[in-house]
Amino acid sequence: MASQPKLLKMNKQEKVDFGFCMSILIPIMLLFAFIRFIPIIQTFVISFFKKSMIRPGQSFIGLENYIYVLTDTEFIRSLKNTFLITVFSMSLSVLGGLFLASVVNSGRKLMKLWQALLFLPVIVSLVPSTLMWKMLFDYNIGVINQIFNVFGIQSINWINNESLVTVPIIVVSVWKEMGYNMMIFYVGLKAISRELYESAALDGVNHWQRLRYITIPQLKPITLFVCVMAMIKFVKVFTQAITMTSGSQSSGNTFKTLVYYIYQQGFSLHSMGRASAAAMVLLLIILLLTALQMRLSKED
Amino acid sequence: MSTASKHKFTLFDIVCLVIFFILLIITLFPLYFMLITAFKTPAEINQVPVTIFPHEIYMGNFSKIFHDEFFLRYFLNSVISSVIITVVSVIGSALAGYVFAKFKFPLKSVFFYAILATIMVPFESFVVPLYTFVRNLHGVNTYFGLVIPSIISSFGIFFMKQNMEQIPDALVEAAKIDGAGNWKILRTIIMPLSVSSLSVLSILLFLTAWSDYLWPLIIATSQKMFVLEIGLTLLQDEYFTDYGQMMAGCAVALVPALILFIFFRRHIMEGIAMSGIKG
Repeated sequence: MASQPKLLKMNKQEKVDFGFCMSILIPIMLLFAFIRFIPIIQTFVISFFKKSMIRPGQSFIGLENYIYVLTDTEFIRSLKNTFLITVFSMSLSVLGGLFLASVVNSGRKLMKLWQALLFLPVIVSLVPSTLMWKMLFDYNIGVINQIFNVFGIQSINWINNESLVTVPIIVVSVWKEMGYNMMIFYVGLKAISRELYESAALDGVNHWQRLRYITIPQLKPITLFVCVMAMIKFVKVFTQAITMTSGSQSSGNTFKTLVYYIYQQGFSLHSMGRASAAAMVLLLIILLLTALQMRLSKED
Repeated sequence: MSTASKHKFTLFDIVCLVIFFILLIITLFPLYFMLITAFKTPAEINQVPVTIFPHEIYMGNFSKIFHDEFFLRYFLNSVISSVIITVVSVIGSALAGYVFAKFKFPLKSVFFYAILATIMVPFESFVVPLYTFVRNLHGVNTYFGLVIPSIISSFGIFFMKQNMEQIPDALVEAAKIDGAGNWKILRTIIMPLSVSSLSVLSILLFLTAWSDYLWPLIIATSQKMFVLEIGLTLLQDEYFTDYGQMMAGCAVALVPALILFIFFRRHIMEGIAMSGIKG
């Protein structure tokens, strides 16, 4: 309504431009409505209904789905698993990425080549990555158990045990994320002015002091940012978990994560209401992390 | 202290380099081991201790995969859906990016922030209603169903807007004075100047589409419509995993990404780092 007078005041060129913009934006916004806005709102609404994926009909049940989900031991376990993976994968991949970036940034010979090779896992998709590591962690023929055997440690059945399978899942996640974090830190390190280092060199500062008093403080904002980005990614962990525990060896052992729980409630148990309530929990966590990230980037 | 830092290698440097190369080996070893396992005979794969160099180059795993009636189909499905997603979403991003970068109109910021806000909402959180929507359109087990959720990219629109804003307004104004219409300006000025950002975006969106897992898992229930990522996990069953075949499959799945990486390494690495920092 408010735009009506403005539209009338437009000259001919402005009207043509407006028509052009709308002819592009209206189809795009419609598509967004159907594949983003409406499903997002529906998730919120359905989380208050008892609604089946396969049978028609629905009934309003208030907070019952939330109560069911939040008191479900399976859900609590999936939250715990997700938390474990997020914390370990984030800290290891951020530390590793920071370390690799600082070595790559030293400008030694062949560093460009090593950097490209270190980046490779980022472009490898998750399923092949997980399957590769699954083979390395195999009970019978896996390289990792064989290395353990050399040191006199008995073979460990990594995949078959619900708590042990966390290890290969974290390893895959770190393996895939480290190169990505390396690139972001690398860009950040490049941005630190050379003059800072040069004047420090004149003062006879050693490597450790340089790291402690220049690099780390200068990189603090970007480090916080990378941590939150990694957390947002790992809270959604699913592919690694389902691939690592599917098929042989796992003997029905499933490693539930938050997204796995949503998937199972929705597509195996056909309960749209419970799946939506769990999805709202995921959404809430991600939005909190995003708000944190925005606050951090405003402080810069 | 000052004499130590003048040396080429201090103890600190050496420790760093050793850790660095250990991490490099950990990064590359799984890829190397996947490749050699794909060329090992089943007997050699199950041999203990493992062999780090294969005794002979065995092509059986690859020939088994390529004679599997479904495997080629999975590959084809991945190619078809990823290419459709890339082409359509890049075109949409370019058009919307142009509109947001170079025009002023009522409600512009409302539209833009509505799109931007969807970047933050994880796909996993609204996948259930989205599935029922696509199912009602008879999208289960169709290419339409496979591509529809990714056919438009809010990140892509944001990315193209940022890049097209760098194109000087004076160029656009000059063309307008010469009587060029908006479509002509888009075709003759904006597009040619956006080639590099368009190619970075295409590669990023292709790689994302290629590695998509959750959506293809739920929308394709018939084996004929499975994509490669799903197909690979089917090469293992409850009692036995044929690692040779599986690793050969993984190697094949890596080929498109690897080709892109070899030719556009710098673009991909900078593009991904930049998109992380900006987005």
